[in-house]
This record gives sequence, structure tokens and C-alpha cells, in this order.
Amino acid sequence: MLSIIIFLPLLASLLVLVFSKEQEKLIKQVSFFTTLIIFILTIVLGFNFDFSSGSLQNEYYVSVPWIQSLHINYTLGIDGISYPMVFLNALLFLICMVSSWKVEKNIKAYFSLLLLLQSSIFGVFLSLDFFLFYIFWEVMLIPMFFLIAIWGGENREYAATKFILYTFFGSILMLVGIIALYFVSGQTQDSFSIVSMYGGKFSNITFNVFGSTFSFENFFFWMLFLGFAIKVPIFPFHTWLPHAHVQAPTAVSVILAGVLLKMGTYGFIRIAFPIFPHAAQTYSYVIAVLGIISIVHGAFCALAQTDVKKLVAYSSVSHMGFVMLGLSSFTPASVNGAVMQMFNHGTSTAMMFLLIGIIYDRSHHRWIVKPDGSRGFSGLAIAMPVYTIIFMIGMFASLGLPGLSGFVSELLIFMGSFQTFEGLTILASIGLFFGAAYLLWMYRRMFFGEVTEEVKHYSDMNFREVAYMLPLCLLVIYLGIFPAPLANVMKASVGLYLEQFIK
Amino acid sequence: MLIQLLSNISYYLPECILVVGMTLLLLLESTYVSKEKFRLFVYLLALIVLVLAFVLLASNLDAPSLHLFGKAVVLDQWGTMLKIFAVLSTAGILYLAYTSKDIYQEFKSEFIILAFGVLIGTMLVISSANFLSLYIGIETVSILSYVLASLKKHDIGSLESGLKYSLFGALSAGVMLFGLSHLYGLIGSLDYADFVQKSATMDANQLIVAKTCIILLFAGLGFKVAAFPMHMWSPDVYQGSPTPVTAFFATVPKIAGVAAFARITMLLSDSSTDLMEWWTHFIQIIGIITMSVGNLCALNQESVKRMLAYSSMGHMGFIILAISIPDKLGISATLFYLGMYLIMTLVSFYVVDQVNKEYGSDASYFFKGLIKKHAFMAISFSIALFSLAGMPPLAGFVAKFNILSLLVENKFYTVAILVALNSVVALFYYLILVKKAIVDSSDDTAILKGFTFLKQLYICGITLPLILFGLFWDKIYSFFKVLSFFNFKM
Repeated sequence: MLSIIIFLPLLASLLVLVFSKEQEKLIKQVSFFTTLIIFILTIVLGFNFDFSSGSLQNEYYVSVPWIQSLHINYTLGIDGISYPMVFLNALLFLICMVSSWKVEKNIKAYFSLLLLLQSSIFGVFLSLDFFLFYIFWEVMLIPMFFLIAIWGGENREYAATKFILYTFFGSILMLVGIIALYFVSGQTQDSFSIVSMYGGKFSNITFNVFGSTFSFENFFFWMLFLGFAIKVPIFPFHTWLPHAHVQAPTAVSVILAGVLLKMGTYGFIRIAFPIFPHAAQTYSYVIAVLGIISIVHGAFCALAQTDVKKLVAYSSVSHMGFVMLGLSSFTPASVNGAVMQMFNHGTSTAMMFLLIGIIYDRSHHRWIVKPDGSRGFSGLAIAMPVYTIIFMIGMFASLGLPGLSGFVSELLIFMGSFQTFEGLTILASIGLFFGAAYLLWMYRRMFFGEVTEEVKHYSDMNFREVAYMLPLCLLVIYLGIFPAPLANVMKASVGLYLEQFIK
Repeated sequence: MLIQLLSNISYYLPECILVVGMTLLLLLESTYVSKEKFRLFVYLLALIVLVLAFVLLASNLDAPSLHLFGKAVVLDQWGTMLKIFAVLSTAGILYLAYTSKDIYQEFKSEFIILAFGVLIGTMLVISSANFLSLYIGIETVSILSYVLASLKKHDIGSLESGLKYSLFGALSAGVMLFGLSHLYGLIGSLDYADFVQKSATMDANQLIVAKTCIILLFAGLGFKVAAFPMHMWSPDVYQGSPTPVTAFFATVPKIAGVAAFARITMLLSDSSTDLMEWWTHFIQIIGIITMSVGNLCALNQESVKRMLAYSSMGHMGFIILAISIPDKLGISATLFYLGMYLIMTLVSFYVVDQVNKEYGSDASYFFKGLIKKHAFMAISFSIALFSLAGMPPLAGFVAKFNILSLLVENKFYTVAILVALNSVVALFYYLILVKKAIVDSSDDTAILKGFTFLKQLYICGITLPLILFGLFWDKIYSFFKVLSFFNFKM
């Protein structure tokens, strides 16, 4: 079942390549139906799931020997932490397929690359063997590079190159860490399996370099941290994100912000923290501080933006800072809140990027205030009322308004991290305040105020656009009022995860 | 003595077949030089000889390790596998040379004859067990390469590269011979086995002399592989030579150089541990600098052949690092990396040759928009380039992974991190080329002519192993490991 979820988009991707360029409708329909089937499979997976157990679901666990000489196995598994990510991935790709219906250039390559991307992202969330995880992690880079570099904005080549080089740098250092773990744990049958590394077995190993002794756990914790931190992205390593998000086409931005960033934090929960629990707890203050800096710095940068897509990109940096704060606090409330925030931020930021894509289709620019000082978007509320309402839902979800899903997760993070880091949490709430500031200011400038000439001619959302925004709207409102379904999915697994850390 | 020599020839049949084939081709070429159709016959004959040599080598694979010809050469499974690589690379280049416009028609048969000569020299280096046979092998490879480099007699670039290659090669051969002569003075014989024996009883002064001699020897061997201080010839020679010759230089002589280094590692690891530790440190520093210089200098190159020269230097740096691992653990990773490297290099040179044929120059400007001109070839080219960069799930990544594993296993963590950083730098220049081929669009959108169905089939056929070996490399990896286990104890 899990293998089908991973490899079906890959097969569809190859199938799409076989069609000729003229069969546009066929290509789009095949892609749409593939993602629909995957989404239905994910829902079926959810119904068969035993959410109260928290450990890997035995029914879906697959482990086949693959490269025997290095004890690498093809291991797949799913539990309460990876299930929301898998569901999010399936949902967002389905919505992206509908939103990409109007792509003109090189349709065959576009849908083929999107499907390949979906396949590798599923692989990352479902694989439980280090080598397999690494392969899927890296395979994701190539379609992203081409998607941004061919279908992106004006500065797309710079953005795509920066993205791929920066991420590759992090992941190859992660590879050195993975190999070191294999050899240190004795090259046995389990040595590439992620789960078997849990429990802090490496705290007493040291090694010598040029005469000075290093602790194995600390050194390789930081190597793995670097690999995931660049993905999340955490403060000093976030500079690739604004460029990549802004220059990417709409659907790719949605996937980038909605799913790819979560791969970084998922890496922390699944790999970096459980394998090196002592190092994680020793340095938890440093990580929390970096999270706070991400929150506040991201919020301040967003305040200064006149390009609305860049503003939302910086807001992503800010929200992932909340997740890092939650993860580094190691309390049940904060980690639950962090995983929930991963899902909720995925939906709300996806909404924002999709909405920006809708207005970009009409105006072909993204300026709130144009570089020459004249007004960009202004008075949209008069010209496009339906758009205004849906944008309002997306914006408030992103902001964390009570009643929408963002509030629940942020509340949980604050409650949890206040138990560990009181001062830092207070600083984080300043970030929350500025989050409201930039979003509300953006909304006021774009939607209210005088209606400019060009805005008068924009058509409101058509049926297709409302159709793909609606599921996300409903999800965001429903989870804001009844967050229990989402919380129940992850509660047991997070509890199991936290047992490794000293209280 | 004579009986022993004659019975040894039965193990040396592949080389004999190649020598006979080379002579036959030479005779035929000088007799029928003016006939056009004849060229196809020459190439087919060369292919048949190579296939025969391959079959004979494959049957040698399970032979026991032994000394042949009175300790001049050694026969072992690891060496036989390398010889198979060399034969297969030459066979791979045959088609490229036959269809390339870069070599004048009248010299096409000369190319194949000289290439056979280089191949025989390579096979001698691979199995050498005596410093003199090592020297003869290296010189055979070098001298014939000088002629190959200047095969385009009326092109000044080609003549310049031949001159540079020969001057540089003569210097490094002289230095190597100087070192070997002192080694002879130290040990009293040129056999590897005697070196091993003598090194057990060397005192401190003699060890210093031995180390100096090995450094001088390295100067000669590093020249072949374009290792750090001896790499300056490489970009100019690669750029000036005709493209099939460059493709040949990037594959077969490199096998010779790597084999020579590996034999020295085997030699030193059977000698005193002091020598082996020193060699590990020395060669790791050389490897790191080679890798870094190669990757950094490739960043700014306009000409794709020059960029491939520097990138091949970077790859040789990786292999040198693998060879530096003590206890001969690195030689199976070397075998694997070399095998994958040969395939990737072949694919990229086929496409470079085609663009060169079309536009008369190999500047990266002419690669723009390759995907519109010929989608299949652009994709194969990109797969080869990503594999060279070390992206999963391709074969180049697996090869790099094995070398990293080896370094980490022996706790050379700083070296491993430097290898990782170099991979990022390498990705950048391959990415620029891929970007030009797939993302950029060019002004002229004519379909790239000249890719016949057979050629496309051939290129796709060699690209497929890159993907297959990237995913299912268990059997091949353990096979190479078993082969390397049976390397010769000097």
C-alpha cells in the first residue's frame, strides 16, 4: 500500500512523457486522476489506521533487503507523525493539479516533473531506512530546480540555482553524518535503519581530530542539524527561501511552502532529535533562540515588503520558527502543537500562495506598492468580493485568529514552550503581534482604499478557482472549531516520541 | 625457463591478441590506405579483436594470482577487471571515432592503431610487478598519446596540445626515472617483491631515501592522472585534441595512472607500516588538493572540453583519496568508481562531439536549448552530468557514497567533509551546463542533425546502466569486493 502511494505518481510521470505534446487535455486529466487516486488511498489509509497505538502501523510496515552488502533495506512505515504529512502532501498536490490547469508552456514536462516531485516527497515521509530516505530527499531537488528554472518569474535561474546548491550543501553534510552513524553502530543488520538508532546510544563515543577530542554525538548532531536547518529554514540559513518562493510558479510555491518546508522539521522529529537526545536537550536553548530569531526576523522582513509573494514567503519563515520553538521545548503540548502547526501552516500558507496566484493571473504583477511609488493592488474588495472573503479566511488562518486552525496549534506551542522557556515565549508572542501587523496592513492596502483603474477590470474568481480553494477553506475552519481529529492523529505517536527524552 | 615463459603466454593471450590485431591493422592500413569503404572494415576488425580480448580476459577472471614472466608482471583478478574496463572503454570510443568529423578521414585508421597501442601499454601498467615494466608501460601510453593529441595535423590547437603533452611528459618521465634509479640503488633490484622484502629491514636513513624515491615516482604517475602539481597540461591538451582523442584520454590513460597508484598502495601496504602511514598522509593531501583545484577551476570555463578536463581531475582526486586508505580496503571502491566514471565520461563526450560537429566549436554557448534540438540526447546528457555531480539515484552518487563510506569507516572525518564540500562545488558547474541544455533557449532552433538511430540507441544503451546501477548495485559491488580480495600479495 505504501509502495503504491510512493510509486504511482512516478509511473504516472513516466506515462505522461509518452503522450505527445498535442494531447494536452489527456495529460492534465491523467495527472489529475492520479493525484485523486492517491488522495483517496490516503483517506483509506486513515480509516484503517489505529491512532491510539502511536507506534508504526504494523499493517503497513514493509522491509525488504535491498543492498545486502551494506545492510541497506527497503523499509517503509507510517505512524501518527508522518500520516498528517502524507495527507497534506496528497491534498496539496491534488489542489495544485487543478490550479495548474491553465499552464501554457511545455505542459508535458511540467506535469511529469510535478508527479515526480510528489513521488519523492511521499518517499521522504514514508521511508524508514537512512539510505532510502537520503535518495528520496535528493531526488526531490532535480524536479524543483527545473520547475522553478523553466516556469518561474523574472529572476528564476538565480533562485533555482541558489535553492539547489544551498539544499545540496546541507544534505551532503547530512550524508556524511548518516554514514558515520552506520559505521559507529557496528555495521549490523539494522545499522541503516532509522528506528534502530533511537535512544541515545552514541553519547559516550569520542573521536580525535588533529589531537583534540570531539564528542561524536555533539559533532554529528550539528551536521544533521545543518542539513535539516537549511530545509526548514532556520534563521541564518533562510536566504534561499524568499527568492525560491517568489520566482517559482504558483503550484510550485504551494508545494514548496506547504510540504517541502515540513520535510525539514519532519527530519528533526524523525531523525535528528531521537538519535541524539542528549545533544538535542543540551542544545535545546540554542535551537529555541534560533527559532525565536526566525520568528521575529521573518516578521520584521515581512513588514517591509511591497511584493506580496515575498511577504508571504517571509511569513513562512516566521511560522516555521514557531515550529522550531515547539520542537525544542520537549513538552507534550509544545511538540503536539508543533506537529499540528506543520499541518495547519501547510494549509494556510498554501491558501495564501494560491490566492496570490489567482491575482497574478489577472494582473501579471505582485506589487502592493509599485517600485515607482504608485499604488499596486488597491480596492480589490470592490472589484472581486468573493476573492476578498476567501483571502480573508486564508489571511486570518495564517495570522492565528481564534476560530481558525492556526490559533489552536500556536496556542499549544505557546502553552508547551512556556513550561520550558518562559522568556523566549514572551519574545515569540511579540513575533505573533508583528505577524498580525503585516498581514492586516497587507490586507488593508490591497483590498480597501480607492479602486484604481487597472483593478476595475479584474474578473472575480471563476468556478474552477473557487472549487480548488474551497476544500482548504473548509478544512481550515473545521479544524479551527474541532481540532480534535487532527490532535488525535498525532497524540499517541508524539507521546511515544517524547519518551526518549529525559523529562 | 623457456617452457615457463611459453606456458605464461597462455595467461597473457588477451595482450597477444591485441598486439597481433594492432599489427594486422597496421599492415592493412598501409596497404589499402586510399579506399573509403576500407575504413569501416578496419573498425569492424578492431571491434572483433577487442571482443576477443574481452572474452579472453573474462575467462582469466577466475585464474589464481601468480607472477608471470619471471616476476615482471603479475596476474590477479582485480587487475583483470581493470583490463576489462580498458578494453570496454576502447570499444566504446570506436563508434565515436568512426563517426566524428574531428579526425581527418585519412587518419581514422591511425587513430585506432595508436589507441590499441595505448591500450596495450595500459594493460602492461595494470599488471606490472617490476618498476621497469611499470616505466615501459607508462612510456608506451605516453608516447603514443603524444601522437594522438596532435592527430589533427593542420590545426594549430592540436599541434600545440601534442607539443605541450610531450614536453611535460618527457619531464615527468625523466623525474620518474631518476627516482627509480635511486630506488634500484637502494634495493638492488627493480621487483616489487624485493622492495617489500628489503623494506622490512630498512633503517631510518634508507627510509628517507625510499620516501624521496616514491615522491619522484609519484611525479611521473601523477602526470598521467593529472594529480595536483602535474595537472597543468590537462586542460590545454583536452581542449586542443580532437574530441574522440579527448574522450580516449579521459578514459584509458587514466585507468593506467590509477592502476599504477593502486599497485603502489598494494606494494607499500605489504611493506612496513611506517611507509604505508606516510603514503596515506601524503596521498590524501595530494588527493584533497587535486580534487579542490579541479573543481574550483572548472567553475569558470567556457569550453566544455576544458571543463570536462578539470572535472575529470576532480574525479581522479576522489579516486586518489580512495586509494589512500590503508590495508588495501580502497581498491574495490576504486574499481567501482572507475567503472561508473568511464560510462559517464563516454556519454558526455558523445554529445560534446555531436555539438562540436554541428557548430565547429565546443563552447558552452552552443549547448543552449539542446532540449529543443534533440530531446533524447539532451536528457541523456543531463543524466550523465547529474551522475558526474553525484546526484541520487544515479550511479555516480553510489560511487561517491562508497568512497565517503570508506573514508568515514577509517575515521578520516575531515577528509570526508572536504569531499562533501567539493561535491557541492562540482554540482554547480555541471548544473550550469544542464541549465544551458534544458532551461535556456537558443536562437537557432534547427534540429541537431547527425544522430542516427544507431547512435541514439547506443547512447541510450550506455545511459541506462547509470540509472540501473544507481538503484541496484548490490551484486556489482559485492562482485568487485570479491575480486579485490584476490589482489596480489607481493
